[in-house]
Amino acid sequence: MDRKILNTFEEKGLPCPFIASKKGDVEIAQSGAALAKQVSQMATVIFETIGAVGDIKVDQFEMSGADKKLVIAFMDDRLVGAIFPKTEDHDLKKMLKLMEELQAQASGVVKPVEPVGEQPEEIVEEKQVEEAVPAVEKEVEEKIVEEPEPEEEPEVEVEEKIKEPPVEETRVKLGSDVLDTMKSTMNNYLGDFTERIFKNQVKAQRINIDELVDEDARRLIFALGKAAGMIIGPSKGREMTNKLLELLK
Amino acid sequence: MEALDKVPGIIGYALIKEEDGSIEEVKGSSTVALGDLTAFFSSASEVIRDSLEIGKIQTIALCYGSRQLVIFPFEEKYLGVEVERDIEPAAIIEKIQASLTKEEKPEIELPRSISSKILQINYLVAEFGGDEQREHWLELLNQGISILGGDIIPFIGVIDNELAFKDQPPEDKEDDFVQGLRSIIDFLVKKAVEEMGSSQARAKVQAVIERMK
Repeated sequence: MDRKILNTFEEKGLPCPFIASKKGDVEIAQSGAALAKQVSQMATVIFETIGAVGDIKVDQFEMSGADKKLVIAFMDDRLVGAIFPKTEDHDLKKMLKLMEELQAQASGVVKPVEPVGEQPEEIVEEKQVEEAVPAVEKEVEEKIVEEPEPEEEPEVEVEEKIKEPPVEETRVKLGSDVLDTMKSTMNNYLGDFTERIFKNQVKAQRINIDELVDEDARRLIFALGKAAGMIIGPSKGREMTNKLLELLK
Repeated sequence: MEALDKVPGIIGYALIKEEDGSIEEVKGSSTVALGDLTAFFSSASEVIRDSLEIGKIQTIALCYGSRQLVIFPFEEKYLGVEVERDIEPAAIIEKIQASLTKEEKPEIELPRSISSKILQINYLVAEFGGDEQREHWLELLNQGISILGGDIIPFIGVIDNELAFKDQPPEDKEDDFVQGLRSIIDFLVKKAVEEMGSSQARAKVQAVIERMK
């Protein structure tokens, strides 16, 4: 991105705006040119930290110190940010709005839509689940009817054994029927828990169901699989995750 | 840090030693690894502080999905608290500091539909866990809350080994909260069936029904 654009945003009131890539490349407004190296180091630290925490999609980072404040927004393999002198009073909402605009400009031209690419490796299923999850009582007062098979595997995070697909650079919009099909698949595993788990994860992952793209759908599926794993066990949780991923093919 | 259990809005928290980044305590019903997240980002922030000359760290906030983790120095440690994304970091820190200096007991009046479900859950945990397995069942309860609670999560928490409301629930959320608590009950019963078999679980559920009468 041209430094001129960053300078323009600085003139609009965003102090010391910058863009840094995962590789360490930095573009920074004229006023912060002396900080380019430090910003590059900071970006490396942030990307490494995010890599270390794994499956959490961090999209904003703020750090407030006695002398300065740092605000960062993430976009895949780049971050946009600004460094605020603490001595000045800033309208943070206005600043974030400016950063959103900067983010939009930094993301550049919309890439062409292509079919969904590489899918994650299939997980070896330990056993076929023919029947749905045993029904659980609606209320304590109701009778317990079934005893499910004991889960022999230790409780581990679902994602541990699922290889996340590489991040696609293109975003493919999905049809509205995908979510219904997903819920139907989930119902075979989670029964009455389906609606609630689905609703909670859509909210927790901030998924826009009216504009569902493949990248968000994948994120939702992994979150659903993790939640399901806590109810039906990690093995069946992974199986459900794979079935849901198949729907995106 | 038991005082934090009672602060409305806190979903979970982690306490990290500043000197070596070791995790001292993690509590609550978060679905993310709060201990690791707090440790990694507090340590990364120290590097950034020195590099960009930011000065003494006051707050760190990172947003993911509908939640955010607010980290701040607390004595010789870092305290990381998970709250809803739209909460101002300064506001939650203020709340925490107030809770640590004075004992506040907000008056909460729960509708019967909600209070009876809370009671059922506490009886179930007590019955399933007894004295020896109490911790395990409280852990399962937190797990159930984290995936099934939804909007109720910032309002409830385990306080002194019992599920309780930390804040007055909004009236318009009553039905949704009841539904959430019902799902948590179903979850606990399902876990009991898995862990102790249907007949033993049934007997314990029956005991709870008797207590509820």
